[in-house]
Amino acid sequence: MENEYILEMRHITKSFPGVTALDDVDLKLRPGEVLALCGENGAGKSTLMKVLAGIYQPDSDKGEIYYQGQRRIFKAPVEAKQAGIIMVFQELSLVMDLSVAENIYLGSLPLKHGRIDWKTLYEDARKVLAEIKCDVDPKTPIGSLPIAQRQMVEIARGIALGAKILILDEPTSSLTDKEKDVFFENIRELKQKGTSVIYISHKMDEIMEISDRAMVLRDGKASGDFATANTTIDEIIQCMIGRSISNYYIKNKAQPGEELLRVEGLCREGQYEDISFSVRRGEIVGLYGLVGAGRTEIVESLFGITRPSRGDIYYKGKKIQIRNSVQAVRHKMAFVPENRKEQGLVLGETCRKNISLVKLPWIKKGGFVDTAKTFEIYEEYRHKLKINAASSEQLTAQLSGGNQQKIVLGKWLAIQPDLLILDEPTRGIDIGAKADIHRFISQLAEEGMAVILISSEMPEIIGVSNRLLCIRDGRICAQLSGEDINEQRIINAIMNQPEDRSNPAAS
Amino acid sequence: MSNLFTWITEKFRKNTIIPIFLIVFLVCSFFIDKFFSLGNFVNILGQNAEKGILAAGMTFVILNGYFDLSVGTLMGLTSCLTVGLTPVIGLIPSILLALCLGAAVGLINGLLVTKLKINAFIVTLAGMTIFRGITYMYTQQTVRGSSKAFYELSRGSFLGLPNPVWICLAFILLGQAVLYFTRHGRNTYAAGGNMSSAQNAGINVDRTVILNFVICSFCAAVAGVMYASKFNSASPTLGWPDAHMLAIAAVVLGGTKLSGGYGNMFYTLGGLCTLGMINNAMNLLKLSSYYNTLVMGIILIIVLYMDIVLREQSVPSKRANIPGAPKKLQKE
Repeated sequence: MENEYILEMRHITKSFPGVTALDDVDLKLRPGEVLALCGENGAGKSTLMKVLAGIYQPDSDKGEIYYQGQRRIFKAPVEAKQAGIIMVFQELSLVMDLSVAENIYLGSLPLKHGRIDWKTLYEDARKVLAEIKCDVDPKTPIGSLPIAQRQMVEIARGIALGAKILILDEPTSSLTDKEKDVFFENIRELKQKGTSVIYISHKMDEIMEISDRAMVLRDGKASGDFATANTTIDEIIQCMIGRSISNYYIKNKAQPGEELLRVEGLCREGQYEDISFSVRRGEIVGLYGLVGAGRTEIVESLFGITRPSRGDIYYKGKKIQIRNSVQAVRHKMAFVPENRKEQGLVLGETCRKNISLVKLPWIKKGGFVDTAKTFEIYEEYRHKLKINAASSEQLTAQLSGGNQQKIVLGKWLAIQPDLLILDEPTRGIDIGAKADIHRFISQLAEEGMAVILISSEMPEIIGVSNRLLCIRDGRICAQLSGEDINEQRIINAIMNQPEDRSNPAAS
Repeated sequence: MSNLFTWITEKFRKNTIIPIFLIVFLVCSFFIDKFFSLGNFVNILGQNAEKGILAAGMTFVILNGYFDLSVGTLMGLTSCLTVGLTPVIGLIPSILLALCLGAAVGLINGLLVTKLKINAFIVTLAGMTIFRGITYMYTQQTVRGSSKAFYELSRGSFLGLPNPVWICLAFILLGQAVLYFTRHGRNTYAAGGNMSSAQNAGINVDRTVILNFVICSFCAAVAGVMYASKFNSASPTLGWPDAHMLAIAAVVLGGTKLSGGYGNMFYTLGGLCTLGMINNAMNLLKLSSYYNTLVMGIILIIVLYMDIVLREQSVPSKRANIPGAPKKLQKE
């Protein structure tokens, strides 16, 4: 019995202020098994893995981790690592200027007579690399290797450390098809040797190809467990969705008016390609895609934060070029960024000062800021957005996430924008504030504002948008509207579409 | 022939200091009278020996991703103490005292940076003014030396090179050995290159940082003692106002990344010699020392700009390798 599983996680619960990321999740893993972990953005996959790797601690005493038959508590990443649980992150944790060999043996370089034994180091590294058929000179600096090979080095490091469980988070996102085959070959070989692998991926075909078992997470709960051989992609996807959309989403019923923004053939090297769409007044256009698909990059270019390398932007019927965000504001565009704490607020300043920040150029009195006006603005939007702050002089750092976001929103609404761009406006805020924000967005559209909404939350994007653009690998892969906006269609567009990448130049 | 050429360009690209050094050397040799002579070269080395030791210590701290602004005034303080205390407690004890003071200062700097998490810029900037203050409290004027033997030590030479140059070279070679052959050296690179990776790999990053600050301040103290011997006197203005900047400039001009994790002692040696040649050239041209500081400032800006360019080159763009990216990046 105790030998059947190398790892058992029981009743794992983890919550962050305002959100429960994991709710009573169990996970079991056999030696030599490849377990795929599936779920939408924010379903709790990464959080679960971070708990396992000792980066997060589970909430209550109820959560238990049994590893090799013993109850273990990993208080720090180093402890999990020493026990043989190795996590390979999407953002690799390599030291770019050091050689491949040094990276593999980082922290445990071989010594001889008190000196670094370079010869042994390189030999050992060569052996480990040969084991995973990675044809890299151990003396090359990591920074000069392509990402795929860096990934291999990370895995080699796991092997050198004696990994029993290897956690791979979206490992193929930067690999070419050929590299992917070699990579899968390596995973199979590790399996043969008894190493267990937990494989996080959004790509269904890969999951079917490599995994023995697929575990599905949904909204922080385990919602399904399939033997991959006996299931289909559809079944897994159904399990990932399988939830009814709550009714509190009120679609805005405004009749779309004139076209406000039209984008034609927008490109930016390495970020997005050939983006064309339009937004009309009174319309909410959703952008959905996996994290890193290029959604944020596209709207950043609309707002002048980055510059597209090609393509045209028409705004209010005229072709315009926006070189920076100041010009965007003059055009009455508003941008509520993804990360409110870093990009949206001056945390050490008061609610009133934050909320009047963008409006400042318009409320001058004899060259100085008209303080009375700033109070007026604060009062107006406190009322409209139901901002719950102790006073206008409370620091925004002390507010809850929902109220912080309302301040950011109010700050932009104060300039009466024509185009409102929202990037993940409800991430990490509680359900009540979320509903307030949704209702308000719909109301704004009904008043004739054009809205672009980016969200990783499927119910939100379905519930709120009138039209939906699906983004995949920096391209628009589907445009949906009306009844077509449903989870099945979206998931099919984002994940299940056959790969039509042209064969890379490597061949 | 073309192979040789690519080999050379490859070497130059990796060791940017070599072409910089050669260009400065050739320009000075062609255009400046009296530059190209053995005597002048020995002179340049002699003038820069102490600075070389400062820069050697600074290399450790910069490789670790920090820098130390306090080395200049610490050098002044240790120099004054060495000369001033010799009549009181004797030569050897006062030298030892100065060296211990250097190490202790480094320990304090390192502890403040790692344990109290105060920004290294602030810590060492504060150190800079504190040591200058203490130096002036101790003496407002030049202290005269009393030990002839001590003076002779710096005057002597071996195989045509002044003794201080040998000491400097020894420090640089020793430093390189530490960087290349010891765990501490490799940990320095790892911590400077990616601190969280180093931490996750089980490296004691705090200890590494502290030790590097100790090495750096100790080197400053050594330089102070050597100046004391060279001048047979010590002035409280020694190392003020820009010795620390010159040390940093030598390190970074050599090609060590200011952000840490990349570089070595030979780079520092190259940077030091290049700065030394420029300095010497301006002296030969009889330019006022004000021009000297002006030029140093400009060089610093160029060097920092190069640091940015270098950093961008070494980290290929995140998506460099996805399908559709330029072909040359996809070759295996």
